[in-house]
Amino acid sequence: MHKLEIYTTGELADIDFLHEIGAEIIGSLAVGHYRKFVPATETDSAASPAIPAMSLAGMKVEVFTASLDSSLLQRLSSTGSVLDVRVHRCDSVDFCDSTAECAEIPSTYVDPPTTPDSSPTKCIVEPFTAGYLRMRVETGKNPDCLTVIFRSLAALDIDAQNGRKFRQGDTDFITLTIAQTNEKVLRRLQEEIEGGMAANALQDKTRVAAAPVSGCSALFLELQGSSSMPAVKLTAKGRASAIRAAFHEEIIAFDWDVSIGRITGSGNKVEDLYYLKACGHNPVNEQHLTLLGTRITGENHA
Amino acid sequence: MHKIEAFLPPSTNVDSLEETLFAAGVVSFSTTEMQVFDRKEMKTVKYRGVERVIRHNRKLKLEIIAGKDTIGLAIGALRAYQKKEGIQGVSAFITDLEIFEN
Repeated sequence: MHKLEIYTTGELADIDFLHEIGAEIIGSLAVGHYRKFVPATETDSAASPAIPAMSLAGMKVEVFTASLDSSLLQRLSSTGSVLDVRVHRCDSVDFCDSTAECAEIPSTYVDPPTTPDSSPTKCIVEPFTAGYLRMRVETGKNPDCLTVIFRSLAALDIDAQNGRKFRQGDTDFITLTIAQTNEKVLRRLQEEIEGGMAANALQDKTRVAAAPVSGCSALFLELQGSSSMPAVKLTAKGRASAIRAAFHEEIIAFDWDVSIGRITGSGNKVEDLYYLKACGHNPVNEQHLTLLGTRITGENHA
Repeated sequence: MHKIEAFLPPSTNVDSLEETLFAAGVVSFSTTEMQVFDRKEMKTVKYRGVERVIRHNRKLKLEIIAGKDTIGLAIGALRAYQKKEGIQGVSAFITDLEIFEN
């Protein structure tokens, strides 16, 4: 399969012959595509070099086709209105219902009986793809929300594959893709998260991840972003849920607030990026990261 | 890195799809509305007694960039969305990308 990108100064009708090649998809959209060219001049180039000019194509045509031969490319290059042609190799994605991967995902999760919603925190778990569930948590603005969530996941030995966290106004939204597990464990997870988010709940709990995380290796913490919006990149190998729980436990100790979080990783690898709200009395610096690394692994990271 | 280009109906709810895709771990996601000729969707209509062949339809094109580890989840998310909304005839293509370190 090939993808052709054709930048043309004319209309789709000028390259109507594209409909005859048996393409899967032909699409057009308006763009502003500039290409530099040097016009040929008859004067001595040393005395007055030709001034480069710009050509503008107003339309981009994208063609996805299984068949690509040189005669089509020759015809396109000889068409006056065609300014630029780019060819990329690609594959088609099969969305057919008959493939085994598209079979109905068996759900082990049953909606709990509705109860009056007295807690402002909502934790919803839904089927996602084969072997994975999607967990969405919505809670009031709470710097401890990620700590509660990862601590609950670590306690129940559930790994989070990917996710994100962001804040809109006074609400924190956390979405995570977690490994599929049974209904009983999911109910416990919901109870742990909703209970943990309750006001002052964390003040009563002892720190679960006080000890360094065993089996954590290749831990690397990097300070990114600007002074007004610092970011900490966490990469490590080991029990992902335990590493993240320990990291966020220490974040609370430093009085930092994660406003945006991007959680990625696979298997036993962690690769997260957390944007911290600038804290005037305790700005993030390299010494903090060194201390953080030492506390998480138990090894000296100086 | 890989890029998925998928063509969906223009009525697609982008907000819920965006949330699903980012939860699956995609790096970026953009949408464009395009005029598309799809061989499977050509139709003949009669207007004022004259038959016309409609070859082009408006479609929403999604460009999704995802890493090698998360591309499977991104495709799974699109499939799950397609099944949930009952959308038929989704065309999608996947391309390799080279990473540019800025």
